[in-house]
Amino acid sequence: MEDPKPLPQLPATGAGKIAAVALMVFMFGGLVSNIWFASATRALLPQAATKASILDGKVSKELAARMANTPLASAAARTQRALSWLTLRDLGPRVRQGCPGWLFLRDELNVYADGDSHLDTRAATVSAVQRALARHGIALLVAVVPDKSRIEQQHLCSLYRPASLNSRLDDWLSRLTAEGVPAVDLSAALRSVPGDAFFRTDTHWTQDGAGAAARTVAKRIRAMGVPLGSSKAGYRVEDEPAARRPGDLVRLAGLDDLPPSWQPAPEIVASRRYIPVAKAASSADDLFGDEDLPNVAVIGTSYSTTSDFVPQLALALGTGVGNFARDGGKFGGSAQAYFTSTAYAQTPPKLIVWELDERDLQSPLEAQDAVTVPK
Amino acid sequence: MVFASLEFLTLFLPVFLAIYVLSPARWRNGVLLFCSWFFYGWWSPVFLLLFIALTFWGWLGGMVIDKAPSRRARGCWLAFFIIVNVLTLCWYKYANIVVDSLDSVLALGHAGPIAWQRVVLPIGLSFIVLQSISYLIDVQRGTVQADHSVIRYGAYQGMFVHLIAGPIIRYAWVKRELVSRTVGWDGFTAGARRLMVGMSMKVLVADTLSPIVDAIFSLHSPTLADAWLGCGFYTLQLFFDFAGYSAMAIGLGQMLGFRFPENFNHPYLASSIQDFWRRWHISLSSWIRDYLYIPMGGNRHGEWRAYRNVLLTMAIAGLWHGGDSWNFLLWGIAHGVALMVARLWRNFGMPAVPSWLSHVLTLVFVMLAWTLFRAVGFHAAMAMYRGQFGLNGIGLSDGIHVLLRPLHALAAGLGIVCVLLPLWQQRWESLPDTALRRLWQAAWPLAGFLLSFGLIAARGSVPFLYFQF
Repeated sequence: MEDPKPLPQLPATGAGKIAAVALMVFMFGGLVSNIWFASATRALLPQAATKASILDGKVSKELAARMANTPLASAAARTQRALSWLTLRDLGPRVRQGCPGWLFLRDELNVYADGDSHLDTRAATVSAVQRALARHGIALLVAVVPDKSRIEQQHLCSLYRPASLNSRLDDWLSRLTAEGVPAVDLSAALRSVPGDAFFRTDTHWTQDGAGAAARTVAKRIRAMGVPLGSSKAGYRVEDEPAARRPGDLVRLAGLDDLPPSWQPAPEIVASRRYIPVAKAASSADDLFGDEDLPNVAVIGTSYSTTSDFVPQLALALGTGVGNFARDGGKFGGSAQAYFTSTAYAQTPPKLIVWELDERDLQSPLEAQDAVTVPK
Repeated sequence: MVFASLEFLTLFLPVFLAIYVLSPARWRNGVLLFCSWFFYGWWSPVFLLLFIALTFWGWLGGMVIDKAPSRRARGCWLAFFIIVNVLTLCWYKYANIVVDSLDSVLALGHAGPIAWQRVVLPIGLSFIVLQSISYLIDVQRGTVQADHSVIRYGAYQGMFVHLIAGPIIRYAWVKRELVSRTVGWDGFTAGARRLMVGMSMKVLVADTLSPIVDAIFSLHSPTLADAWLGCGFYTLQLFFDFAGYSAMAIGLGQMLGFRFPENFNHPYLASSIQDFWRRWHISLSSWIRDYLYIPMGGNRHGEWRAYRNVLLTMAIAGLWHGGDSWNFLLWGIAHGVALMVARLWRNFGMPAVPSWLSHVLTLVFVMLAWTLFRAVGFHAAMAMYRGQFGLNGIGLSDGIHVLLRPLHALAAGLGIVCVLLPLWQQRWESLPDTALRRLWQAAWPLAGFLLSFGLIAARGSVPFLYFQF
């Protein structure tokens, strides 16, 4: 083996000169952009830098993470996403395309190594919650939202949905049934929707999909015979003209800043508006005003906060429904928050509808999945 | 801090370059040293103290050895200073695995595990220690004179361009530039272009393939398709990650007035294992040769001693890489055995293998050995080998299928083309020097760099493989 030799010093080439000038413009442009961002927003430097946080590297990590929000970094990230989409039809790590214009969340397609065990743990959690609620005289109904890729299979085209996921929903429902937990499968209702049950460029159900799901849940609640009280549904419905609806999957793919004609085919949606109706004065007997509070509470995910699922459930039931669902709540997020809230402590309902996403059932367990009901 | 990060490219580097270029020449080593310490301390200020201590230890060692009155005394001092360096490295690299292994033995006797707080390996420690050892040995041999300036020696040892991941720079290679170097336009332009090329290699290819490799190597039972896809992607990832980082280090060195040697020379086109080690991580393989293999006797004391030395040298090289499992030792031994077999084959006058077959066999062996290198633990490696030999089924697993994206195919294709590109080098060089060709030479590193920056910004965090070493 020959001894490694230092590189020869060669005169500057044209390519080298272009690289050097571009690098300097880029570096110092980036520096100016950082300084401007830091002075304008005060969001670059960590707020509370302590000696300990400096020594263990937390401050530098935080600063590095915040740099992704600077103008140059944001613009570069958006450009990269746009180029990947326009040249390769690549939608980033979280989004996949089925048939042209139909986008799906990759999380739905994930296969987890210990998925069955996670599903079992979650079933045990739900069962424990049901038993604890029953001791307080509160009924529980679990409503499972099936994957968009399960319901809209005709729009998958060449997108691969692992066959091992086919039994996930049935496994979950049979485990809950074995534990004696009432659960409702919304698949049939969603498949029966005349149009699309899910948006093309969004992970959520359409208003028609949410309506079909709401009616199915309402039917099951009535069958349970829970006293629903006298609160009013309280919504007036108005038709709205068709309008472009930006999909969350387009945003997740980082393409929402592109001109509309370059984005995945935009979605034009005609919808209804559910306007809360001002409640009439309480009866003279209801001195402190809690007679009209709903006896049904919904906890769950963003499915319960989009496409007017809860207003449609209220109208289908003919009674008020309290919505305690949270966007991004996943399996246990909203349940954990609700059971520790004053709303639950002071005005507990007679029935809780726990809406869950199929895609979350087998995912790795998180701290927020440990749901317990206070004694 | 890593080179492929927002904070390096748009914060540290412009500020450092401005201070460095505007400083008088005699201050530049000091600027380089203190900025390098800042660079090192960015993520782990606590380890900076260890790093500074090792720097002083190396500098002091050089002085003491240089001033020692006799050859014997120089040897004794050398051993003393090297042992402290090696013990430091061994502590941080092997304490955990030794305790884990002892726990396994104790578990056989139903005894409880040893109470132990896990030791964290400081970034770049292996490189720091090897540089220090080579300096001390060179001083003892008289190849270089001990540096009396602690700032200058510190700048050599701590220079941020090769601090985290090499290449391993010997003092002898840069001693002249440490005293006086030219920071000029020629070096800056060449360095800037090299930095862009290295960044493209690392980010566009290595980092893009990284999530698939991670997913496949964490499968319990990878299939044939999974295992070879994972092994193939890792083969590309490792090369583009490390060679890309080396290219960035070489480029930054050029921008600062240093001229480092090449660290890679198209290793996947090697015609034999020996050839592979001439082309892969050249600064490490030449270090191993000069400071391990030759001092052990090399091939000067007969064939069997030469075989033994090859095996021992490669085993030590494996140990140097490893820290969290014995796989690295096995990887080193596997390469040692392959080198022995190649030597035996030649010495026993066996027929020469056709050139194409030799290339293929070398690459397949290197890939199989990378499996051992990448897998987390022995059982994971065995699971991958079972997959590679088709014992877990054939088709791609569902979990991997849903992860694959067009970008991965592009990155892998780009990687394969770049690996094979030297085969068409002669044809390319014989093309007329047209404006279009010059434009291409200027445009592709710049386009790659800008795309890489976009990917870095979109990702948020950047993995780097050689941190663990």
